[in-house]
Amino acid sequence: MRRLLAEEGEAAMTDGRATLELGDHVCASYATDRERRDGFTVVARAGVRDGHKVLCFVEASSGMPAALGGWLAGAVPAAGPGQVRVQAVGDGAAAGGRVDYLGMIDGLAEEINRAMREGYPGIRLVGDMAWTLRGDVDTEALVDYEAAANELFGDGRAVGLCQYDLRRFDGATLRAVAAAHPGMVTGRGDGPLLRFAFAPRGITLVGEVDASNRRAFSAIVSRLSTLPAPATLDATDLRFIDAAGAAAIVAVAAVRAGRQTVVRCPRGVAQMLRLVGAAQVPDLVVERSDV
Amino acid sequence: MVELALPHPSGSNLVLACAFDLHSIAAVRHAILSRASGVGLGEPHLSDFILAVNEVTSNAVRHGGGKGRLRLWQTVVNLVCEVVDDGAVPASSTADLAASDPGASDPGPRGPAADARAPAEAVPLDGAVPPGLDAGLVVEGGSPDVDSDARVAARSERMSGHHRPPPAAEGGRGLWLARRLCDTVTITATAAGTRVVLAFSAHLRHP
Repeated sequence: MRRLLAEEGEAAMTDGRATLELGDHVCASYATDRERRDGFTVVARAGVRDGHKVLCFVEASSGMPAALGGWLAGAVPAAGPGQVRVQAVGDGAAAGGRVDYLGMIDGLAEEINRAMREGYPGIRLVGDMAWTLRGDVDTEALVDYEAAANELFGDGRAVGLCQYDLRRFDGATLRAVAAAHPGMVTGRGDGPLLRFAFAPRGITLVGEVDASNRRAFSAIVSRLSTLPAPATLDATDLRFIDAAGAAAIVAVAAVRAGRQTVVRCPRGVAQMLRLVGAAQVPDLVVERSDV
Repeated sequence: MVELALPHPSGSNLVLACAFDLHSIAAVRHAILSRASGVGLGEPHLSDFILAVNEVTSNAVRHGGGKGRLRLWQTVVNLVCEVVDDGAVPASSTADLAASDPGASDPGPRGPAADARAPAEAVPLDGAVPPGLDAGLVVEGGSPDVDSDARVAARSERMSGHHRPPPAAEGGRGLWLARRLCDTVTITATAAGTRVVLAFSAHLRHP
């Protein structure tokens, strides 16, 4: 398949983790400790290449923090003082052994602000998601966390790469968690399926929306519900959207009753919006970007 | 997405055969875009066809255990896409679909031109199904007549796509949409999983 896809110009054999841009929130999976370490290494090198701060999150109890710090010191020698940091997470779990997801989001927001104050143009956050494990995986809480985390990336100051251990998260959990990210990347492949950016009056979307990023997309467009009228969803460069994604747009436009929502999009997206009932929402305006 | 090697079927032109999961349904879309345009399917039909196929592959990965297989082939009058998931039929599948079929008389968003296409009963399998892949699956509903609908009455209404689903019903909406965009949609539920065949008439180059 690889050869055939290459013939069709569809396969870019780059490392998807190295090509991440500010604003990307993606997940990756790993099956070996070596693959996990590679993820940290690739992100750290890309961050130092771009002058970004790099923050690596690892499970506190694993012995990983010291080992990874030592490894990265050798693997990314060009890093400036304090530019690449390893931070242990998991010990701060709230009483009752519950994972403190809200605290983590607040903490990440503060780390992004801190990096800006320190003068970095961006920060790359890369985590081993084993910190979320406390006995049984609470998939729903984890998916809610990942979906909510998208808001941290809409202003284009940070990159987020969440690494999931295939040995510790089951397939159904990983599929649900992956769909809460705009994209998934591997060591050999393209960047994320969807990129998004928040603007004061709307959201810009680039890429594709399907079942693989459905939950993330719902979380991203839900931001429209809080914006004043008129709000614009600039989907000029949205190449594909499925019925569920289009329905999420229609649903949020309906919630904005009385406040106009403008969706600027090419034919295929407009067609799908029409099919899921966009015309039934009076304050939703679909403008074709390709005519 | 992993492309599957299959013998060249007689009587039809196999355009694509592949296995997919949640993260390769995008690659499947891209491959269909390239292959279907390669056999002469143009816009706006190509986009509509991809919208429909994607809803079916999405259902397969969301309800069918996360994986599926797809074959795309060309007959004299149709582009036909078969999606087989590896999921079992939901236990609640008891809706009787023989009562009515509003979708059958609906020309769909492509307008009156759909009326001029090949009659539905001539379309779905047409003696041109490539061999292989689906060994073990029992084809129960080769054509959407009342008898075969009655035979597959055990399949769930969610999967049928005949009725416009309520706004919250994601899976049902996908198949409803596929029916709007394609000439025929044949759904066969078996213990081994669900098989959905979409037939889409178009002005193709003959194989």
